[in-house]
Amino acid sequence: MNSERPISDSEIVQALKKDKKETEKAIHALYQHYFFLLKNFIINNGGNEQDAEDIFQETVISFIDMVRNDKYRQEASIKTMLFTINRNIWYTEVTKRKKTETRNKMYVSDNIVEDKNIDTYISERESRKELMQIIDKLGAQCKQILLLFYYENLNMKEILVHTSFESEQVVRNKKYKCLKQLELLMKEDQTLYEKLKNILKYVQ
Amino acid sequence: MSSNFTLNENLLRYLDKELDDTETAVMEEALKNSSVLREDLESFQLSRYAVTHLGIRESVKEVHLAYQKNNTAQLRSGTKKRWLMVAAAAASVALILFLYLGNNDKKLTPENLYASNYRSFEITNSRGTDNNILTTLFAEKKYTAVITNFEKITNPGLKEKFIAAMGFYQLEQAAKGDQLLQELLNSNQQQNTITYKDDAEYYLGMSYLKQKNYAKALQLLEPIATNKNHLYSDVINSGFIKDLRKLPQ
Repeated sequence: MNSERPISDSEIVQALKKDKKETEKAIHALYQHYFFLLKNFIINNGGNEQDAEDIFQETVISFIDMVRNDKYRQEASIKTMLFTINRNIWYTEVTKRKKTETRNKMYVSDNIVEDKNIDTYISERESRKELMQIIDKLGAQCKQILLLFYYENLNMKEILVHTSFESEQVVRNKKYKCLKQLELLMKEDQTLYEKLKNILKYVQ
Repeated sequence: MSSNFTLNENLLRYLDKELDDTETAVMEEALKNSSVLREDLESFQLSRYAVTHLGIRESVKEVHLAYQKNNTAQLRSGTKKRWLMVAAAAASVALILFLYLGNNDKKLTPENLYASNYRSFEITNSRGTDNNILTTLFAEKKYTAVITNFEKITNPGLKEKFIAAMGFYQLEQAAKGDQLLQELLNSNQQQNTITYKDDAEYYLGMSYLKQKNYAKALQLLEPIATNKNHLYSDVINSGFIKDLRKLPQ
């Protein structure tokens, strides 16, 4: 991405589908372009600075997930999408805190786009939180290997450079074992596991 | 299927797209016939999703912290000397702006005010999953076909009306576009909805500006400038309104 000129919506979407480096450049662009707008929305609707920061982070995470799972079709602009996600997450949060007055007021004052994908995605937000708590129980080495492979898109040879393993085969075996371990952790609580599987409705 | 790997390992290799065509076909056949294997695949998918989601979270957190740090550093770095430099710079900018605006007033025409604040409406449907024919045709820039198809719809919805209006504007048939957007705004008002409301206000207002109907343009565009949450508040700001008012009425 060229930092000399404003980044277009399409460029941001493309970058978010690439590796970690490009993704982070795009996240930075999202912060530069939309943080203040969305922060103002939260503050104008009963939230404080900390709420605004937290909700914006959640909004960006949700948006990236949608882009990576091809649920954002670019019919609405990124600005509209972020605004809608931000508003829906804040609405859910306000509902949880039972600030009915704020919630009602918010309905009148905002602008949103109708998108079933957003509603589905946000409805699974709690499950994703639980999933993150589970993955947190995985050892640091496992997390590192899995992130390098699945998030940073490195191959076994490249992962070898970042780790202390002696061969690509050892890394491959370790990666398999780590995923199995994660699977066991998820299945410790069958009821929770069944709930977590709903997330897959959203994943390609 | 490679015998060096267990069935479960091959399943993971299948998910990671590491199998060759023959192995993939064998695995897909096995998946068709085994619910246990399908369940295993599902749990691998969920695990893989968990990892990428964790990666995204960590990246966002990292950028968030860097963004915060940068903002805090900028706030704290205000020394007296810096303020003087800022004041000097501001004075220079003000002078340049004054000279520019003075000069710009002479160049202020409805045409250039329109051109410099018009944001074209585009549909980029990269997936092609939208079944709406108007959306597809508009994305392909087939504006005449958009209108032809729109006119075949017995009871068009707000989305169809909006896209058709954009099509009329592209074909320089402003009156028809204006009529559809006005209908869309009326429907929203009657039903207390906001479907394409911001877009309609902006494009209808800009259409009136292009037609030099400044009163109607102001009526639609002025509220945008005062509403920070409006989708077009970044283009329609107080400066724009000031310029619009300056145009010979």
